Amino acid sequence: MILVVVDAAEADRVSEGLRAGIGLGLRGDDVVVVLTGPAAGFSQSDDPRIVRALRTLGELRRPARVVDEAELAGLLVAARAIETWSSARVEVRRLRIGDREIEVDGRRFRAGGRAIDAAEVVAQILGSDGPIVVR
Amino acid sequence: MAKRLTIVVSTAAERGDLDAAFELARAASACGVYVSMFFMSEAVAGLPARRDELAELAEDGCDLAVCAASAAAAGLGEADIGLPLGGQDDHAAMVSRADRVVAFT
Repeated sequence: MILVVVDAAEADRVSEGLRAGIGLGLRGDDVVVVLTGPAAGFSQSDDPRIVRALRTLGELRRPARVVDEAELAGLLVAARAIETWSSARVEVRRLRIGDREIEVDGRRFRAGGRAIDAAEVVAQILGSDGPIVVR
Repeated sequence: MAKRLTIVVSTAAERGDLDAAFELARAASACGVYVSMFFMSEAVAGLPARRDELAELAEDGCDLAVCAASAAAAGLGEADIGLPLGGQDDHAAMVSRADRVVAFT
């Protein structure tokens, strides 16, 4: 299952996340789109882009659902790929690979208080047995 | 068989995600990983300034695609970015085929 997590606070980002959720289903994959955190309130939005995207997802019989942290945690475990559409204001990126977390600051990566190079990050990504969560 | 890594970027260049994505793509490609990258939304506006890096990645065999709708919204065409424009079908195909997906979205 491909999981699209929309947790942005801005209508533009929410709209784009929903559009990605529609597009990712074009190859027949099982795609689940959820609204959580600040994005949950957009489930009742009157922004025409969001209204249209939510309607399309509903017509495709995979409506976007509002989920809480507990339900989201279960979906994250079940997914094989995850796109998290977060607020543009989040300062530090974090990659979660299994039980490890890597901080991303542009071209620099840090894990466990030490700098690591991109090749090591790639090795961890490809060596993992679960999806990569970027927050 | 080579592993497939797909990287999706949707954020503005100032966010730093394009930098991280290019760094990971270069490292993965150097290790023999098959890399696909899809750019959409605000990330697309940052691509003209990265044309040389995009060309290098393409030369290394990376599969690169840009959302045409996002490019149009940013007032950009293929000549500005140096890559053919694609769409959400490319996005879906890249994620569908990937062993692992890293989404800076």
